[in-house]
Amino acid sequence: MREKDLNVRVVSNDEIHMSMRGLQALIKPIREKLEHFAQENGFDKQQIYEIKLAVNEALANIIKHAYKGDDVGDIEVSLETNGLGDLEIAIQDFAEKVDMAQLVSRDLDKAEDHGLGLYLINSLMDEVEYDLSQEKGTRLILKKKLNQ
Amino acid sequence: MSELVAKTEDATVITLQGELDVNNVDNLKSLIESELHEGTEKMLVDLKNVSYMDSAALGVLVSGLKRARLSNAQFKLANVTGNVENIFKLTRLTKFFDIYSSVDEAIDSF
Repeated sequence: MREKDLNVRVVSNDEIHMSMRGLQALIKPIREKLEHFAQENGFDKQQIYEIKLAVNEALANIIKHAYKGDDVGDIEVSLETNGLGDLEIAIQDFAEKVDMAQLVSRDLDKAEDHGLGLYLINSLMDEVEYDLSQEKGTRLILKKKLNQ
Repeated sequence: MSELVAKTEDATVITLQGELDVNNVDNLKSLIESELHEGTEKMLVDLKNVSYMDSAALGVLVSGLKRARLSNAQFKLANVTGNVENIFKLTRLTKFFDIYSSVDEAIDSF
């Protein structure tokens, strides 16, 4: 990993924008940024784990499926909390738009080694939206409510 | 992430340490495959010191389990706790694996 492959812009304590090349090696540093951000914004240990894992899975899916594992695409990740403290994460890729018909979670009654990521994203976050209105790529929006 | 392999007459024990994710899981996949290819009949993966695991890592353990079954080998896990236990429970994969609370207990079960 090269430092220049991950750019971080801190707008405030409750807003951060990151841009990265689609490299698997950058998933861990993104997880670490997320952990720090979520801690600073009052999320508990279990919620932080869930947020990190969901974003890990989303980034891995983009690199593997949207960018076909080529490690060449750009990805933008924005973290923001609203007035209630709830977290919204936007993950934008610039690949071919996701085909919603292909988004199938794993059958939990079978010991399958694929399709787990999508299932985890949907299980771990309170809301999951796919915004296909951008000129290019897909914007995945993940929301997590702050435990009071 | 680091892997340590210990071979005894009782079993082949793979001890993992650190964060296991999509970026480093290929090493573990190769290791499991090569051990099974060499004829290991009793394989144990110790997850005690794994602090984090994603679905790619879980997928490698699932494929290891399937590969072991094809070779009539036993494939067991020990010390599935904390964040590792979290992801196993979330994906309901605990029912497919033989999971033990310690390495000794797992080895005694072979």
